[in-house]
Amino acid sequence: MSSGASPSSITFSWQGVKDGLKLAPILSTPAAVFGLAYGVYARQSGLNLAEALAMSLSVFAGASQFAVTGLYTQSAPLLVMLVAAFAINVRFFLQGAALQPYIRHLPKSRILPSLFLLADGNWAYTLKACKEGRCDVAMLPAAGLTIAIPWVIFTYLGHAVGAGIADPRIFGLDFILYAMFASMLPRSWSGRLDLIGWGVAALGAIAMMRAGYPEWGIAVGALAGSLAGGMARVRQY
Amino acid sequence: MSVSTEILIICLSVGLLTYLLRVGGYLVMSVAPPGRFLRAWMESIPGAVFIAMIAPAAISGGIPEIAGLAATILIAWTWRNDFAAMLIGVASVAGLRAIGL
Repeated sequence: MSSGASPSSITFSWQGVKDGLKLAPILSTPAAVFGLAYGVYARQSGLNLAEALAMSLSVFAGASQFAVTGLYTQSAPLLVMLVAAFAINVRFFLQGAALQPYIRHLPKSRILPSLFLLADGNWAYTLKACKEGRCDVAMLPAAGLTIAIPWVIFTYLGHAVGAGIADPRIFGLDFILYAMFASMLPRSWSGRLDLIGWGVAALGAIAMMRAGYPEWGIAVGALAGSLAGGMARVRQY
Repeated sequence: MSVSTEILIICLSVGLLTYLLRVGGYLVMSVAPPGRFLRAWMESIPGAVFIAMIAPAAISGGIPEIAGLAATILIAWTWRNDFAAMLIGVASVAGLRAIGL
């Protein structure tokens, strides 16, 4: 954690901005596709254009926006949305903690606004650059913009084209949310002990669905499963 | 067209919570690194979220949905490309529905 984190080699300069913007082809494409999908999904869920854009501008975190929007259609209470958003976005806390050794000597006036743009892609590239000794933290917000700008523009476009889609089921669009979470599952695997937490999470979510409270599924399943997983894995820490 | 009060409250509270998580790891680590259980718990959250999200869909879905989930997980696992896995998963659901499954 302390390796390569000497303050003298860490900068926040135009070089980092340039390096970050160079990541646009890699980072903007998925952001555009997800943004488009979110715009379509938001429209189907009864959000008007201003509401869909408000969501993308204020939350700027794809998976949690899909989940919260889905919960909105189920008339879930705000608490359920917050627990779900916490569970989905707590990875940002871990990602910020991993960056901390590299950003702690930089002024808070630059770091705190930059972290609003923290997303999976720009975080991964910034941390990689820092670990390799090319640590210019301005890469984080610059690369973040290459995600945020297409994210918002394509939310708009998705909401606009969503009008022309009569039955989203034909294109499998109602399945995007599940495919997104399924695609992230293998990456979170760290060993056989995970099966304890995963089993509890599945049982919790299925039990809530069977009990007639499907909107509580993510919140209850994620909390119960992660606590069980944490207890199972705590010896490794 | 305007933002309803309900959506405005959702955006502000979910947006604020998400921002606090974005700055939280950096701020908390600067003061006191989290203890063993807290770290083990937080590391266990992502997997639990993904399972809690897809398990109900898997048991209540039909052939297209179950096959779509299986394809997505398999591709993400073998290719290590989440994005491609998601697109192929959605396309396979659409395809299986189109042939009437």
